[in-house]
Amino acid sequence: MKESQIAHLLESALSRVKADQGELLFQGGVSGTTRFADNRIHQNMVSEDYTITCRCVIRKRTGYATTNRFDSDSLTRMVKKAQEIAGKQTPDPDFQSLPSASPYPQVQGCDEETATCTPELRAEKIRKVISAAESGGLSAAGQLTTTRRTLAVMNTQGLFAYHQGSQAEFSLTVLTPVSSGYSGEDSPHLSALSLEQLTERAIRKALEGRKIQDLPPGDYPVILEPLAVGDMIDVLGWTGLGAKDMEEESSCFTGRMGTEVASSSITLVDDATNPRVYCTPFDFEGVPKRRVVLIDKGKARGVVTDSYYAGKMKLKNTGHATPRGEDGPQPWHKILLPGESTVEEMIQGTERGILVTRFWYTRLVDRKQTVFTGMTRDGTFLVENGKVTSGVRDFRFNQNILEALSSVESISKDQVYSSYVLAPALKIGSFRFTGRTAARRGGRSWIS
Amino acid sequence: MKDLAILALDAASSSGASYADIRIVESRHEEIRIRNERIEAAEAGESTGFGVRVVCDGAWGFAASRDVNRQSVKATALLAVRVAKASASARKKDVILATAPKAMDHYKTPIVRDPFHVPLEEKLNLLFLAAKEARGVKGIKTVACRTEFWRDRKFFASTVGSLIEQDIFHSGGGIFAKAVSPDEVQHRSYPNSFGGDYRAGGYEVIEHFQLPQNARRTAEEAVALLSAAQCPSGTTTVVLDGTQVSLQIHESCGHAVELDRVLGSEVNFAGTSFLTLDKLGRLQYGSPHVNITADATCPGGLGTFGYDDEGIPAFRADLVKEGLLTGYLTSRETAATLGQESNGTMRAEGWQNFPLIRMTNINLLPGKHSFDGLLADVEDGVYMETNRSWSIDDRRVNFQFGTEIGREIKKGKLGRLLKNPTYTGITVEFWNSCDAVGEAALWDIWGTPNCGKGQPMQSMRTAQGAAPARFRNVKVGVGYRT
Repeated sequence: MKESQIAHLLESALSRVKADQGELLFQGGVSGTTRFADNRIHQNMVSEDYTITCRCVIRKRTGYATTNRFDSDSLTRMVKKAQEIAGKQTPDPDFQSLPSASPYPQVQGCDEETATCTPELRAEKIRKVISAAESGGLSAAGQLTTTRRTLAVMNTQGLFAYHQGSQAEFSLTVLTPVSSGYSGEDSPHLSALSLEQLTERAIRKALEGRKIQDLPPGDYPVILEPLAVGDMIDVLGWTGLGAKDMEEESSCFTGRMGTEVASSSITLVDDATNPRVYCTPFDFEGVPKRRVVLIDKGKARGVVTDSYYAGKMKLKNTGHATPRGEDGPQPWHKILLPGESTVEEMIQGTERGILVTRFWYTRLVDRKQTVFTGMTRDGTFLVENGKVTSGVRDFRFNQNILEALSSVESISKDQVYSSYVLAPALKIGSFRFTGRTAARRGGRSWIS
Repeated sequence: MKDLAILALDAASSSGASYADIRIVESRHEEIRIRNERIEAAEAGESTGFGVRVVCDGAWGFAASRDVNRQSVKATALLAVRVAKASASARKKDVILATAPKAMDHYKTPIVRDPFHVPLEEKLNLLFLAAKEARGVKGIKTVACRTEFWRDRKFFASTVGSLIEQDIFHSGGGIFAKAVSPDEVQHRSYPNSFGGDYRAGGYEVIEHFQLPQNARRTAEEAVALLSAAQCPSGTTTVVLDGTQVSLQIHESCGHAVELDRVLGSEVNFAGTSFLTLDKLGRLQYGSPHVNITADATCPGGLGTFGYDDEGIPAFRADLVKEGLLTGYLTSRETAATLGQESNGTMRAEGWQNFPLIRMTNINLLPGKHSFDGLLADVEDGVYMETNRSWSIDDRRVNFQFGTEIGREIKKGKLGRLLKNPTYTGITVEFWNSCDAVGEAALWDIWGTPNCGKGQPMQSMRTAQGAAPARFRNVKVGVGYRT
């Protein structure tokens, strides 16, 4: 749908609002995903959907209703439902107002090549990936997704914000009978993803992991590649980098703002305007997204806000509203700033340590202490005397994230964007592996 | 609906599809969340659309649209065929589907009170009453109470000749109470974590939970945890409450027996399974106390329905019988690889999603022990209640769980409170260490509203029936340095 069509649709819906304030959030898009496994495409889909969510405010009482039907009756029903819900609530004295219009940064728009990628083109790209794996007698599984997304907000305070963006996501697992290797990256531009290099990378990891050994759990120096770091930073986001958790005294930054929480080499920001990330110049209330420094050279510096918590806590609105999110405002464009090193240099400088490609099923064990658990997966290696010497059976870990970030020894200059985090590789002095698992396939014994 | 369905199936067939189905879905959702004294969110939502799935040139194609009209239905069916032809360009073997019965039927979740007709005021009064009870406990920082309701009206038709209408209701809610100190956050949930508990049914599900009556105790436990002893580290006997057994089943059995995982379809994201085909009928998955079924006919579960999203009737299958692995969750395509018929576990999150094998109700059948009986033989152990964290590897072998609350077990009796309990283990060792399962009076069906699988990720509502159970020689306290 074009901007003018959406504006007209939202104006039509807004004209039906009989409340003190009203807001309409339009979101949706067209998405195509081609999945493959065992060297064949096994799931392949295209879907298109858009929704409008109406927020009505009546004397500081708020109601929401959502629909994906845009005929006149459906829009009227949605608005009436939001008003009905608002009318039956109790006032919230902390509610200030829906935001008024303010200019938002112009970021790159939709990449048409990505947004219009066809099932045939996705299949063609995947055939090449499969062919590369097959030629080595390997098995490939993965997915390529291309998406066009539209976000628009209009409210009774004169605000109208519109943005259309694109996203390409590729991930690949290559399997040998005894090992696996993984690579993956996302980008607003399909052309920015080198599927050839990513395929080569996953194949190399799978092959290097064929010689595999069991190591005892314990504390090891680690080199975390960007996907593993990105996962860890994502989990850190769950520990309270938003104002709601600060207000409820549950954030990992509670009582620590301005103090040292990580190595001085660590700076973590939320920046929706970075061209490598999926850019959205405004949040789900239409407020411009500001760059927020969360950790500044190792010190806890800030949290993100939305209109409600900015008003309640007398903070600046950073433009990080989520759509009625239970978790409150959230940093969805986390970027860990790069350093000067490379993964190769990190390996060369390691006497004995573990190289981790990625984590899996990471969950918080203790939110306030930022302890998380999970497994290594698809490429875990032993590094000895500056070289990768073998694969290692996957470990379970229980690690305090801020402690890990406090023992960072070097940071790579290259970053990878995946799952909404742009992250470099990190060399970390000590990482706590607490368990290990069994042989990948056909193993008869399991080791805890 | 029928006319649109026939249009889609005819369009797909005449374009070369050897099989086609269409799901037209009309979903309603309502969520109310109270946080302390304010309503954090009150929202009603609706979503309508359809998805067409085809096999053409031996490969799958799927397309979906929200425009439910003749023009869109025909165009979307043709797009699904085009997608399938693209898939076929990287085909190694043809998709073969196990036979499916032709069904002309309708199904509706039995409900007492339609949750969408219960006045908003009544729901708010209940939640505010519960919140007030919990907020009255000194030391509580945050109380969150919620109700959530779904209604999915599904129309399914396929080239097998089936025409199936279903009207499925899910309801749930609960209480969450949080206490904080400068160094830690502790919380308790009722009746379960993940926002509460969820079941197939109407508003009577919420009434059954008796949220206001349980609010104060929930909050008191959260505050008490701040000054409780840390759960020790070591190897000991663990008794898990029914909710935690439920998640243990979900993660270490339910996902592990999904045949698409076993066959490698999910290797890039959710992973595979250690329960490879050679283990069927041979692996002693658990002790003889362990009997697990997949039962979509079981009343009240989030995995209860009339037909799955391939038009297969609801089924009860043995997965583990007296500890022996006896079955998998299957689809028409995966069942064909075993020379079987599907046991009906294909579901899609919404009209816009490709159906996947999903847990129905995965039930650990009750044993013979009373709760006191589960504790009686325990000289020294830990009782753990209500999940707080969960993680398992990509083959469902190595797991670690944390619960909200624990209690010492000393000489067969519950003792002092323990905070931050965690336990870890290896699936087969763990289930073989199960030496007692609670009796039928302790058994209940617990909902998991947020089961993730697939790319793009689909969130599914599943259930597990469980009673408390006892496990020996379990490693506890591993999440913390002690």
